Amino acid sequence: MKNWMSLLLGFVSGCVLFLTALYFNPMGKAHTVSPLAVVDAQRFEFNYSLNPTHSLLFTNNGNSRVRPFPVKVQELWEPTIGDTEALVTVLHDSENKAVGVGVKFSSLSDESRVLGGKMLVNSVWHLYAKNAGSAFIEQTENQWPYLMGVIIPAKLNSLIKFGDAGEWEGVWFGNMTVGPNALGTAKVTGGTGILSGVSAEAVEFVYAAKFSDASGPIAETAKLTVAVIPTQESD
Amino acid sequence: MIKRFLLGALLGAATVWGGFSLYHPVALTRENSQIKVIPNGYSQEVFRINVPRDIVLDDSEQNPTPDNLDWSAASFLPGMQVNIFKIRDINGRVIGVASRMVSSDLAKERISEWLLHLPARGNIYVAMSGERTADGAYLGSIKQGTGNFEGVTGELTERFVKDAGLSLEPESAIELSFLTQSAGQAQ
Repeated sequence: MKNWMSLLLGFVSGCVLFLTALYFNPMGKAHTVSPLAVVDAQRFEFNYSLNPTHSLLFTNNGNSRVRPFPVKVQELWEPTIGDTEALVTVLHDSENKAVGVGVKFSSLSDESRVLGGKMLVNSVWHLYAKNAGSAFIEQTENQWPYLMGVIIPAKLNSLIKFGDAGEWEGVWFGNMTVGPNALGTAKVTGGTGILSGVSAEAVEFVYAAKFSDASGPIAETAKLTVAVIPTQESD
Repeated sequence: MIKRFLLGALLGAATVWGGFSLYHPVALTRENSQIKVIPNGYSQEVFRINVPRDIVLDDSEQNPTPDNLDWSAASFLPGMQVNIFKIRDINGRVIGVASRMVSSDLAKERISEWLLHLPARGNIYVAMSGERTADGAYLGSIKQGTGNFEGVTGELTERFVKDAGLSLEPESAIELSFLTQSAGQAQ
């Protein structure tokens, strides 16, 4: 009996140790330096709030933690788009002046793997800004560090409170973009204006201060930085 | 006893590792693509947006969707029209979402663009040229394709199809017909 108890205790300990190692895995920490930081390029910064009630419109399958906004918006409940979110938001420049409007579609990627620390999201931006023109931005985001740093701590707070909605408060920021470009940047295709016909890349950072397990982001902003990479002819 | 404990710990860790190795957290639902091959080397695929059923966002002042939409924060962009739609394949199954941005302020920069986002297949970014066919359809060309549409070039014909009056609920449609050539075919 003692032997079986030891085996069982060891089994539980092994499970807990493995999960703890996965949670504290240093490879899953957020990247806080932009790969575009050292690039000498013309930059456009687009800031927006991640709180859906601050957006023009936000929708998803209707069963997620983050509720669609405004209330009557159509939900994306069909199976093929059930893992997709749509956000329409005003974009602000670095001086907090409204400069454009952006549509972001985000779909969970089936290349996500728990063991690899990959919670991948394929997202695209369709945006227009007065100072830059229109563009299509394709990016792969890894939300694993955000999940470990913000969402799970909020969930654990909920569990501690025995059912009351837990909140996470703190300072978290990180680069969400991991591709598809080789340097881990997003691919930009200009449509009109300054961005038309130029070579550009982008990264998206998230700054989180408060997150609710019941309703999602409360005080969180994101910054999309588009850098126009000089071509050899223009050097 | 310690040996048994360590064996149990090893088994526990291996079980979690095995479980996560087999577990795929996301499984996208895919529909077969309805592509028609045209004899001259092109492919044709038609997408449909049923109106008003598939309108997720319409920022028009007269008939906004949803009807409690507050677009005042974007009023600094007069003449800019933004729409979001669900898009269907030719068999009527929803397979993705699309955004359309049109600027009616022709004194400034003219914008008329589509972005189609098909989660299991990829994205298509289209710039409309402003040209119209004899039957009133709008023409555009693919600026960028990603995923299954990577390297694809071609044209888009956007046509408004009026309700035929056959069903009880009146429903018109926006038809997006792509005539495409993949990078391999173009060479």
